[in-house]
Amino acid sequence: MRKIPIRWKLILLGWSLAFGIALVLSGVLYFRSHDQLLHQVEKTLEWKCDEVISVLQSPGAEGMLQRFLDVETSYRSSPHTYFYQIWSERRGLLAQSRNLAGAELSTPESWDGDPVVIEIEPDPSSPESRRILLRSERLEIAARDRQPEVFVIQTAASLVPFEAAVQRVFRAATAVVVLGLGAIFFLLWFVTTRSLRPVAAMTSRASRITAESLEERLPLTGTGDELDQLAIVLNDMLDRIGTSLHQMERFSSEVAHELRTPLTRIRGEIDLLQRSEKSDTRKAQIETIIEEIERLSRLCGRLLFLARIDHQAGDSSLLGESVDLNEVASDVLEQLTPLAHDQGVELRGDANCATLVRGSRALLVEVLLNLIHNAIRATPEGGVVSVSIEADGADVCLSVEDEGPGIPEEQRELIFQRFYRIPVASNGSTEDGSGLGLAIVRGIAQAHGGRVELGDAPGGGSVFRVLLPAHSA
Amino acid sequence: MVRVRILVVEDDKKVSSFIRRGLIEDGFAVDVSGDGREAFDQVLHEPYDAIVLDIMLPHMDGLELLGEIREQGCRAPVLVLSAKDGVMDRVRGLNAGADDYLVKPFSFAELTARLRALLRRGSDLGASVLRVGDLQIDLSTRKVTRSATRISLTPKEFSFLEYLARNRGSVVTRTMISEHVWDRHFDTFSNVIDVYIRYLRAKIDEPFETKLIHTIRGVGYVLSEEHP
Repeated sequence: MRKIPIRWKLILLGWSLAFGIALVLSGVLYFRSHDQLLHQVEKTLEWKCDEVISVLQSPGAEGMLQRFLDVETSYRSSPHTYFYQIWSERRGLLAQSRNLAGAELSTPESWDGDPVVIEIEPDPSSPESRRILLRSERLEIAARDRQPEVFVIQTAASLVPFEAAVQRVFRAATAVVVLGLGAIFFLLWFVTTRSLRPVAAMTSRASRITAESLEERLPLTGTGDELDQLAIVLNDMLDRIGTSLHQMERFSSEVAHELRTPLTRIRGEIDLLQRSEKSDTRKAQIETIIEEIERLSRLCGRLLFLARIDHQAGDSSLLGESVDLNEVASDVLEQLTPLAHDQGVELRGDANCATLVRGSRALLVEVLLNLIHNAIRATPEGGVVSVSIEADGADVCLSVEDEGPGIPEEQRELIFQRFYRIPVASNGSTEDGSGLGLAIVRGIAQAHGGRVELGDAPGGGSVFRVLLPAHSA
Repeated sequence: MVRVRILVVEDDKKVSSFIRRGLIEDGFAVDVSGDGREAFDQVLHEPYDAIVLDIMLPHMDGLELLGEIREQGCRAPVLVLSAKDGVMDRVRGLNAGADDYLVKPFSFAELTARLRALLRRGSDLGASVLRVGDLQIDLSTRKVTRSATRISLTPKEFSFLEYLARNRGSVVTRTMISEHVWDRHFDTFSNVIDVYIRYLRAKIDEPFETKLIHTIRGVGYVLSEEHP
């Protein structure tokens, strides 16, 4: 997964929350104002209907109905806002406002009094009066001289002005939301930048501490806030690392001294003894002792080396050089080719990419020497050992492939452990091995922030892969 | 014959004792000092041909002493002994003015071989042709001939032979070879040297009557006209 800075996460979180809230609020606002405006239109229609009713109820006013409608629909700025139509149950259509231009508004089937939105035939002179809100009311007027008459009074309003008003509300709400979200974004930006600045300062300080010296400590602001607490925890940790590193260093140099001094004395005395010894049998015996002393000395050296490597893991001073693995590989290959040739093994190198890593050249040479040495030992006469370097994502992968018998699954983890030797050696040449070679390889890889993997080679042998973080020049 | 004088600065009595005895057996004149300050005075008053110097010393650190005697104008080659074998330790030693760095424990033969190499160093500085018997190594043209027969060598073989020839007559150990010819300080290198020695023998010795490359069992190799 790609890494998203915590600041962007915070901004994204805050912003989407604000966005959600704005969405809900503006939705509510929109529907509320929609309903309110529609209600206003209904109220107007009701009021207009009442006017018509009062006209109808005044005796003899029926003749004035058309005139009333003409007046009602003419003095407005827009003559196509309101429409009227009056029916008599007995006599049919009584009057109609002229702006309907003869188009008839249908009579409703139910009389629950709720206005309905209908569409009327487009009027060539007023194409905007398409959607209208129609309100119908039944009215019974009792008269003394004749039996009561039932009227249907229909008043309608064009929805165009209403829709325009709703549109305006919508636009205003959108504008407020957009501006608000923009403002919140910058606010979040400002707040996160400000609150994360001390963290960034702490990070750079802490990385400098590990790189340069373990003596420095993170400064405390004294406010006792979360950052101060973090600094206290980190400082404690640095104290502990410093102490253990110091102990490790002392232990290493003490072991070096305490083991190597007696070994030096024994070696020196036995060498002098051997020089002055005349008897061949004794000379041979001394020779055996010397071999054992040499083995012990080598072991001591390797253990100390391993201890040093282990405690260097993550130590950035180790990663000072920029090393070209291709160059290291061709150097080591050149050196080991005669040895391989001598054992009837062909050594092939294949490097085809930019392969810079940060680290110690001497240690990386040691890795390759160990792996190729092992591979040559494992491969039978006539076989091939191939060394290749390729990019693998953010890593550089260095692989050494042999044509030996391979290593059984259950031993693959064990062989990296100290002093582990494969029970049945392929050619019995483990005699000089200390059982530390692969532990050293892994130690060096880890000290470089990498790892070692062991897999099956296509030809049945083993392939050791050393993955190191690539470094761009 | 003037005896070569060597100062051994080592605080461990047992170590300095065997070094002294061994070097005297080999015909050197040896003084021993177990203390940095005392050693400093000795260096100022006696003209030593070489100094064997342990790094861990009481009163004055070996590297400190080395820095001071170099400041006083002492040019004698210094072989540093140390229980530390880290690359950085080595670099520190050589930067302080040491001429060679030997990690404890060491074989006595290694010590004498390195001392002899240091003592003869510079004797053929500027020589452009090295001769061992009828073998001629031209350093400027990198041409190798034996009894007027041209021998062609790979660059590695040439530097190996050159190193043997510069130390002709004295033993060079495997560690010395891996350090000088391959610039290696690890012990994974031994069998490569065996292979190269075989290559060199095949080219330099096999076609000829007199053998020049000799193996000193348990120690190393020597390039010499007469069998040691």
